[in-house]
Amino acid sequence: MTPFDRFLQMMATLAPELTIWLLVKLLFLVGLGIYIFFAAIIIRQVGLMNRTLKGTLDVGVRLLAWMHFLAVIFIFILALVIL
Amino acid sequence: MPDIFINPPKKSPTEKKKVKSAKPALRPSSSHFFSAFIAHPARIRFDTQDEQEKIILLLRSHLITNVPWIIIAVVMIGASFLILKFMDLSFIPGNFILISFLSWYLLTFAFAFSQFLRWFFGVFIITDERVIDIDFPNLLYRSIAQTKIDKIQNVSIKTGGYIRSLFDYGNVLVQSAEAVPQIIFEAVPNPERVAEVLGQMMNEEEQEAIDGRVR
Repeated sequence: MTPFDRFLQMMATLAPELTIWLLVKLLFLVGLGIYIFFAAIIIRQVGLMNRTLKGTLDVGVRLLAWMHFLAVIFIFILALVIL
Repeated sequence: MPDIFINPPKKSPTEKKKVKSAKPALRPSSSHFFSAFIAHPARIRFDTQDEQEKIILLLRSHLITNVPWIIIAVVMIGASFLILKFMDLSFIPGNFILISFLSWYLLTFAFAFSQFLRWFFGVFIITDERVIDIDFPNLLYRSIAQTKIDKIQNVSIKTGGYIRSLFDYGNVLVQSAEAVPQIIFEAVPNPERVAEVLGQMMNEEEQEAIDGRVR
């Protein structure tokens, strides 16, 4: 028995309900969690850009950055609930 | 007896006025938000701008340079529809398909938004004192390079190719004697006009130095 087989056997004993889709859900949640961090960085960077060049599309781009951030959080919660 | 030294004739006030009026004749352009060539922008200011400093020209890369990322974004959106239409996804539960597609559209939006921000805020500014290149290579980095007009040694332009000739845009290379040896205005519209404006401003600075005028 290879170490990977042993690992699978151990996982099957510890969590018999573990399926491929549960793993995919975990991957989705981890990915979206990292993405939330990225979306927060976008908001910060947009603020920096607006400070660098004032009087252009300040409100518009800030709004888009926040909408993007909220959309990511919404999808994260949706994934948590429906997957 | 031949004269060894003759005092240069004093300039009359009208002559001095002539030098002042040698300022580049750039009429203020109507600056809509997506302009790539804005002369004397009225409401725009930048981070390190002095109180008296005036922006002569604000440049971005030509609007046409955005076409590649717009095409990529459209392909990304189109790919999702093609996958839905032509691929058999029956083995995947519906809720997983929904989350996958929502995440994909989110990624597409983030890609397009970051590319737009990079273009929109990556500007080249010519003020009456200096030349500034503000660049955001990606969302995490910002670089600002600047050189004073009187330190500029050479201005050259580089154009060529079908697209650049058709849409009249190219690079303007500004070489200076400062720590930043070269500033490149990449893919700016009307590069000849930009070089002309810079040339006129360099002449004016030179004249000011000769006259002993300090701003």
